[in-house]
Amino acid sequence: MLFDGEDLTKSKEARKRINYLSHYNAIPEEMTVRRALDFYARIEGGKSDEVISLLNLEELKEKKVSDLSQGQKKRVSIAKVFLRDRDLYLLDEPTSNLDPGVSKEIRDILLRLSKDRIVLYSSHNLYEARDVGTNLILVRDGVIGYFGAISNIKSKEYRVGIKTTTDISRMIDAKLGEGGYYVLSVASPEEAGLALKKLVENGVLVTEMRQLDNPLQDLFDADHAPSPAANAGQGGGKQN
Amino acid sequence: MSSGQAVIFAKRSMSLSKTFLVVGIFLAILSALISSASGLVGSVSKTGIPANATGTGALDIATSLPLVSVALQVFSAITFSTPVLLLYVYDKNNGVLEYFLSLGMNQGDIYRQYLQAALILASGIVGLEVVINLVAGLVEGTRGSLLLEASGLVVALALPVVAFGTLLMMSFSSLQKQRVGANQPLGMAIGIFMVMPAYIVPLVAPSLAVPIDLLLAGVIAILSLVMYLSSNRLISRAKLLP
Repeated sequence: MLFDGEDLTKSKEARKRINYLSHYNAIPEEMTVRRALDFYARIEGGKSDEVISLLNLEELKEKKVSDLSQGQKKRVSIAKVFLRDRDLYLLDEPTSNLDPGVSKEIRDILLRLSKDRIVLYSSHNLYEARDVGTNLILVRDGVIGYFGAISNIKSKEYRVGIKTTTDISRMIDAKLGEGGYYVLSVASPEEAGLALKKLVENGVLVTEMRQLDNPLQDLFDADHAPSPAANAGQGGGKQN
Repeated sequence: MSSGQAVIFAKRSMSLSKTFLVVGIFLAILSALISSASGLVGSVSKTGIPANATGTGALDIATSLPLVSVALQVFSAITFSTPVLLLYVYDKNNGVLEYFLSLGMNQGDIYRQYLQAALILASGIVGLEVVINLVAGLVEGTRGSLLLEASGLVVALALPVVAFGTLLMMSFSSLQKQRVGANQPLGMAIGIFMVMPAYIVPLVAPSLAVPIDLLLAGVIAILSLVMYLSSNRLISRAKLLP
C-alpha cells in the first residue's frame, strides 16, 4: 500500500504521516482521560490540553476512562488521533455501535475537524456517507467501484418528500405516501425547487422537504454502478 | 521509547494486578530470609548435615542455602514482573498495540517498551532482595562473602530470566493461532524450567553452583537478545491486533 509514493508496510516515516482510528478505542481504561491523553502525547507528541479543548472533554478530563459511556470513550479515542497534525486521518467507522444522538455528535465534531484536514472516513452507512462526505471512494468486493465527488452522483430517480399543513396533491403532481410525506417524482433537484416555489406562491406552509432516496444506494447497486475503470482516479483533493 | 515511558508502563502494570506484586514481595522476603538463615544453621552445625543415612556424603546447608535461595529469588522477580505480561495482553485486546503500530512502531519497538517495564519491576524487587540479604545476613551472622556472592548471582540471573520470560510470554501470546487462546503462561513455565539447575546444583555440587548460575545467566541473556532482535521477523504485525 503506497502513500505519497512510499510503501506504508516498510516506511516508518510514511506511517507517521497518517493517524488511524480503529474500531477499538485503544485507551488505557485504568487512567483518567487527561492521563490517557498525556500518555499518548508522550509517545506521539502533541498537547493533551489542545485536544481536550478541541473535543469538548473539559468535564470528563478527570474521570476514569472505564467510567465513561461508549460515546464519551469514542470522543477520547478521537482526541488521541488528533493529538498531532498529520497529512491524513483514517477513521474506521467512528460511529459504529453508538446511538443516533451520540453518532450525530461525533459526526458534527469530525465535520468540524475535517474543515482544514484530510479525513478519510469509512462507513457502511450510505446515508451517513452522503451526509459527511465531500468525495466518495466506494469499495465493493475489495475493488474501488467509484472515486469522485458525491455531488456528481445522480439518482436514477429523484423523489422528494414534502410535509405541509394542507392537501397539495391538486397543486403539484404529488401523492400522499410514506411517512406522511407528499411524494413528488422529478427529474432533477431544480424541478423540485420549482415545485416548492409554486407551493409557496399558493400560500402553502411547507414544514419539511427532503430527498427520499439516497443516490449512493443506486451507486452501490451493481447494476447501476459505474465501472471501476471509468471512475478510478476521478475527483481527488479532500476526502471525507 | 524513553525510560520515562517505560516507567509509565511499569506503573500501569502495577495498577493492573496487585496480587502478583504482593506474592512477589512475599517470595522475595521469604527467599532472602532463607538465604540469610544459613548463618543460624551454620552456628548450629559447623560440620554440615548428613545428606543420607549411609553417611557417604555431607550436605553443607550453611553454604547451600544462600545458593539455593538464588533461584527462589529469581522466581520472585518473575512473579513480580508478570503484571507487565498482563498489561501486554490487555493492551493487545484493547487495541492499544494496534494503535502503536499505526503510529509507526514495529514489533520490536512495542516489545521493547514492555520489556523495559518488566526489567524496571524486576530491578526493584531484586534491589529489595539484595538489601534484605545483606541486612538479615549481617544480623544472623552469615558469611559476608557468601552473601555478596549470592546477591550478585541474583542480580546476574534474575534480569536475564525476567527478560527471557517476558519475551517468551509475549511471543506465545502473539504466536497462538486462536485470538482468544491464552498460551502466555507457557513462557513462565519455560522460564522457570530453565533455571532449574540453579535449584539443583547447589545441593548436588555446591562448588559448581556459581559457575553454573553464571553460565545460565549468560545463555539466557543471549537467548533473550536473539529473541528480541528477531521479534520483527518472528511475530507478524497482524498478530498484535485485537
